[in-house]
Amino acid sequence: MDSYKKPIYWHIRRLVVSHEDAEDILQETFIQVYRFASFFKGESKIYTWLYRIATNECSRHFRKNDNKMLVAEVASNELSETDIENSDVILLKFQQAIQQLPERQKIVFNLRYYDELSYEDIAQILNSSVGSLKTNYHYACEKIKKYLIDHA
Amino acid sequence: MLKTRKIKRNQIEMNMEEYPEFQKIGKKTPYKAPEGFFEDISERTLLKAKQNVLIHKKRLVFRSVIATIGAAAAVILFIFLKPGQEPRPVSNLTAQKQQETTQPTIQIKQETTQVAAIKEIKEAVPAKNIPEKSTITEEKIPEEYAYEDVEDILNDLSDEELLQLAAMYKEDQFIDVLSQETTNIN
Repeated sequence: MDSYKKPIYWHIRRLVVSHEDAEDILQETFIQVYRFASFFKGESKIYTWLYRIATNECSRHFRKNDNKMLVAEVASNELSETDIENSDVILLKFQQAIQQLPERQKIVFNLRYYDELSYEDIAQILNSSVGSLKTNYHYACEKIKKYLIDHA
Repeated sequence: MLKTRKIKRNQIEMNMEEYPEFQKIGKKTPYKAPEGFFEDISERTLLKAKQNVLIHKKRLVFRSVIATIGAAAAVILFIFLKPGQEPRPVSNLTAQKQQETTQPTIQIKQETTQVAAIKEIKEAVPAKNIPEKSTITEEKIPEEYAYEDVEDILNDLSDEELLQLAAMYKEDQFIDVLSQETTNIN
């Protein structure tokens, strides 16, 4: 748990934005891991299994809550505590652009861009084909790019 | 159709990593985790897991209690309302109450019919002929006949009448039979 808690937390945090929600989902993820540890076949890598559980928990959270408006609130609150620089504003806009994406594209983009997972691993996590993931990633990048140009 | 799809997919793959705008932004995020968050997250997770187990157990107990109550209620309902059986009166008390409420109405009806019949008779017969109260009940028995003993009656009779009575007593079959029966019993 210790070696995976940080990357899993940041994966969850980038998806759900709020720290409180991310903490709840992280805890729930590890509870699920303890509960179903005996069912893990060992055919896939352990971190893909962890990411899969965490991503499923995030999807469950998305079905319950709509957090598109949260990015601006949470990020601006956290940025206001420190001196706002130009780089921080760009980061905030970038995150807002990611949050505008459909759920699938958002997950694929985060896993590929931030976590630097291979398409094969992402395919295992999302139970999808590599080709469709690449398409999803491409559309996500295009949408983010367009958002940044429109909100420059 | 398939060819155009393949070309499009290849174009996407070719352009996949060509986003220099993102290279400038880097992989930083504006989000921050509270200090010391990752140090005690394992302990908090274990605590939450224990709480979840307790909540799960409580839910199980609550559900089992509800299930038993429901089953008991179903059994009681089945006993009282068996299929194909007429519904019983709710209780004897209610039946009694129903009787109490019905009986006085019948009496009142009977009284009303009697009154109507008397009225009809009165109308049919002239008023003079009908005594206000029955004569039999109001007629007074003379005092001399009110309490007459057998001895007084015998004293009043003459000797000849007494002799005739004695002869009748001897000749009468029924009196003889009665006397015989009394002797047999004794």
